[in-house]
Amino acid sequence: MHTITLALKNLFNKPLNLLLSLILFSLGVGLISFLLLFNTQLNEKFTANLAGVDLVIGAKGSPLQLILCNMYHIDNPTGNINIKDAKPFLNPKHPLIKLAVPLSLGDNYRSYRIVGTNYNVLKLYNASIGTGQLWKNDLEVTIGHQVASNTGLKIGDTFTSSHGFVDDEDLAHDHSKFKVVGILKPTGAVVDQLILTNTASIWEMHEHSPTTSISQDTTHHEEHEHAEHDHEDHHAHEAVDTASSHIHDNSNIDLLSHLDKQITSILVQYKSASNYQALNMPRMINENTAMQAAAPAYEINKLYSMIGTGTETIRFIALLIAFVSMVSIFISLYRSMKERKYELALMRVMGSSRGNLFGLILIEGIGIAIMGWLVGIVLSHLGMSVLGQYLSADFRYTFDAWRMIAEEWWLLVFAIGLGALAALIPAIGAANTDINKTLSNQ
Amino acid sequence: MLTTQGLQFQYNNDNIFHFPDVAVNAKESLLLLGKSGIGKTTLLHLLGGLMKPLQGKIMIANNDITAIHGRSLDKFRGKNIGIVFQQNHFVDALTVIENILLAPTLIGLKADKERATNLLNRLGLSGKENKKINQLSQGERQRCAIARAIFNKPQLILADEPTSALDDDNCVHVYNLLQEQAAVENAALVIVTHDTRLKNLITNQIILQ
Repeated sequence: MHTITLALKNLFNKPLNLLLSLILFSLGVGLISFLLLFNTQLNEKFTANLAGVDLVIGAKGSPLQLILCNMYHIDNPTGNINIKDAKPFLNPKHPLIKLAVPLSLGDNYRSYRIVGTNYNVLKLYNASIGTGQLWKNDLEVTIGHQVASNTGLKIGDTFTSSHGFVDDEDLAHDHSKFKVVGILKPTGAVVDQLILTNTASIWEMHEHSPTTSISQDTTHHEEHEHAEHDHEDHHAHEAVDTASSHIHDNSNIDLLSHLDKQITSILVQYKSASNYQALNMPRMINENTAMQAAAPAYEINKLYSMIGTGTETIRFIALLIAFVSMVSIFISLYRSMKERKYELALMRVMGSSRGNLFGLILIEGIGIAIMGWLVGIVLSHLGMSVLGQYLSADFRYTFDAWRMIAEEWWLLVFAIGLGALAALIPAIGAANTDINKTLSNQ
Repeated sequence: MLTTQGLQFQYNNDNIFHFPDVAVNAKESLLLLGKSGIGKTTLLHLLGGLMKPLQGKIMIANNDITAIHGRSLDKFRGKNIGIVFQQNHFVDALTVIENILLAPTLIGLKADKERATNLLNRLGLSGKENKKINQLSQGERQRCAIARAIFNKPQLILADEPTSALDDDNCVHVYNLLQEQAAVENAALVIVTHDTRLKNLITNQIILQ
């Protein structure tokens, strides 16, 4: 019989001991693996969604909120900005700006955000059309891959949006319907979860309904909008009518012809991020305008360092559990070695060497570790797939719950090391079994 | 098959055992009788290669086992010496047949299942192959231990107090069993005991004093 078979039979002969060691060990491994998985995937997604954006310009408020809202589409907007104020940054001739993507938020369809923007947004996320075509006329939308698969929307379908960012039928805009004209290829970035249209469509939605305004913003702002609506209502219809007749070319120039309107934010890519003037741009905007500018990389790093303390703590607890489980394996193997001293002496009589007995106990320790690792990994991926379902709604990401990452294989090496370390003293004890004493004192 | 010359053993400075020379041929039996504390178990462990003597030679099939060490001695013992103890221990996690098959596999020989089954049948243990050891009676355990001891066709079979705990009928029965199996496997049999009932059964005997 092979030593490995014998070791496994010995382990399974004491199922309760094995169970206790396995529970502890897999808990430690599972927690560590879960943290690794979660961190890795969150990191990847956050990085993918940075999309080379150097700066986000929006209404004053929390810079982190501005980033989370406009880059990650998690949080609510800080408010709106007037095109009048944002004019220089939308100008295609701006010397420092390579790409400026306007975003207008305010509506959703079944919790998927409808974003008024232009074709430049596709360049940010390397998105391209999968089936159908890009939006062209007002109220035409092109939807992200995830939106299509989760809502079942197809090309030619129409839908009414609801106001705000949560699905609520009471807040539906009943008067006009969006029409799906295209579906994007999957990108892995946040654009998969967005419904894209032109900016004018968002304006039109909100100028029709007197009780709502573009985006959920400050009370002050809403009052301001209401005042405008009262005397602008008729005029707005005209504006939209003429707008659709002259066809929006979806460019920033087009926006610049509506200086009285508002958008939520602008995503900016610099021509050169290390340019001295570019480095000064956020400060200039924050000090001299009614808008704020925030750098995504900086804000996300700040967020990481805040989350980091929490994950550090959990990591410490996980390591503690791993250590306790190592002690439990040690105690369990040591006791079983003492209980089996006749067996071990007998195996020596039958021709086993000291090395054989040492190897046997060592393999038992490593065996528990590998089984514990396996159970722990399965648990952590299970946890990831359960949590992923909640998180995909909150974080706008789909988590790839069953993908193995390299760190998990390192965790196996670490687990084998722990198992071997726990088995070391019992294995030495087994190798030093005194045949004569054991067999004479029976 | 087995001969010893001038065996001495020392546990500590003031207590040296001097053992008489012994000799036994294949298919023959030798009885080593003695009271408790006379060094019976010590002699058995010396003959079994489980301890080194202070002085003297132990020849088994023309090999002096006092000159073999470490891994080689372990293998030699596993192959050439079968030991039946008074209390027989087994690997609890394994079945009867798996325990028998440890005899070849622990020294790297092929696990011959057919031979194991044949031996179990010969010793009246047919049908017990897949039972756990703790499901066997004391008598069955002893027969199982005999099957294990003779599996590798050893040159020498050592039995330590095999009959002490048995009544008169079973005493004779177990001796006959050991003697028969040793003869079938062409091995020498040495019984170390204080059980004087065996005196009448084995002519070749040495009394330890």
